[in-house]
Amino acid sequence: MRQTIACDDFAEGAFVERYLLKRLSPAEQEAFEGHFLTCESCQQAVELGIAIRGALPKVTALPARRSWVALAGGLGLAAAAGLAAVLLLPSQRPSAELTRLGAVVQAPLYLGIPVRADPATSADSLFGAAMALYAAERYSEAAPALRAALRAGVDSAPAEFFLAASALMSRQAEDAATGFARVIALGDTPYRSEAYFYRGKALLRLGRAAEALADLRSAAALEGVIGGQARALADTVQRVAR
Amino acid sequence: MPEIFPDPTPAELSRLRSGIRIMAMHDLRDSDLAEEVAQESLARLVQALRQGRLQNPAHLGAFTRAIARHVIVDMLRARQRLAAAGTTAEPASDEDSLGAMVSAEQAGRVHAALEQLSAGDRQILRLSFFEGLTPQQVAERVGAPSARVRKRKERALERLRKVYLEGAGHGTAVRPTQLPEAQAAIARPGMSE
Repeated sequence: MRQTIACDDFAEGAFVERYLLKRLSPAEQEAFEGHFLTCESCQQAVELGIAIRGALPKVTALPARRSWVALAGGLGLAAAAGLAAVLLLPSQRPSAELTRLGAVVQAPLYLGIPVRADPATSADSLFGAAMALYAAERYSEAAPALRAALRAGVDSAPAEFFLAASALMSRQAEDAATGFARVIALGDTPYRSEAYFYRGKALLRLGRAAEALADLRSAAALEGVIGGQARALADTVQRVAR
Repeated sequence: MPEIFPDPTPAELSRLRSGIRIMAMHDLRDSDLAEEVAQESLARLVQALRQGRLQNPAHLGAFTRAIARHVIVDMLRARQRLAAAGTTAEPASDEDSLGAMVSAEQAGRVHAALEQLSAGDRQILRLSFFEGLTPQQVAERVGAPSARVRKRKERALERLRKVYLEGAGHGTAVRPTQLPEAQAAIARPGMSE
């Protein structure tokens, strides 16, 4: 429960989260610590954050779909247990093992509102309609709808990202790799790190292990679930491709 | 003649102590050292207050922080000296040591509550707590309106906060032993410096 304007400001700036990640600037840390020393509510928030960081990676039960974490873990274990003895040279044709490592069962999550405003005139609404198809796992229909939203001028980073994700989920790895490359080329967007991870997946499906490994290493620099998955997958790819 | 403000109340001391422990755990990742930092910092604080060194009571938090920061730096230097001499153990990992601030019971309740959240809410929390994204940045990442992300995050955190605090009379993990020790710190203000 937030009690003061300062608490709200700290919440809006994700101060608790960034404090636990040690990502506050010295000035921000000074302000936040000076505040929470006398604020029970913010102390609770920090302690709750610690509890969440401890528990969240262990939560694997998802109501209807397989968990990301479970998927990555399963692939990693399968690769480690069953494929460790396989020796592949970079010049060989795409191996079934590498292709399998590029599998993506659950699509990148989209949490937005499916449709809003007038779908006939607004680029945002075109995007919303496209994402309704994406959320319904109708990826081959989502892709042209996202292209239409892009032509209508919707914000390019999310639209390009989910367009590439739609290609990936439709098993069009070449299109997916090209699409994620466009997202990466947009620069410092919130989608950049995930784009590296999923382009790595697409490249694995194409058997381009060295390029995939470079992308996974880029994504591995990220903290959190994606970073952890990227590190685990990169290690497995390296073992398999050795 | 500097103005001398009254000693902090037990409730204020308790809150300051919890906050100092958080600061110390954040930097030192060691429960015992964090406890030492809290005790030493409170003793120095009380002494400084009695000397009239706090000019504005509204700045108590910043004033206490400055004192605690000095104590933490002293502890870090001492630990570095011990490490150089090879007489200290390897510190535990970040999550292990910070996790010591949360009881097993609280951790279990939070875990159970997280399992009850939707996958979307958990994704928001992952992006927040593991990637440090603000609500606005989470919204950009997932392609959702920021107001909706903010609301979902607040609602999820409020649910978790409720289960986290279940069975506790107060929010922060104030240990039963803390208050008497804090009061003892007031009774012996000359123990530091």
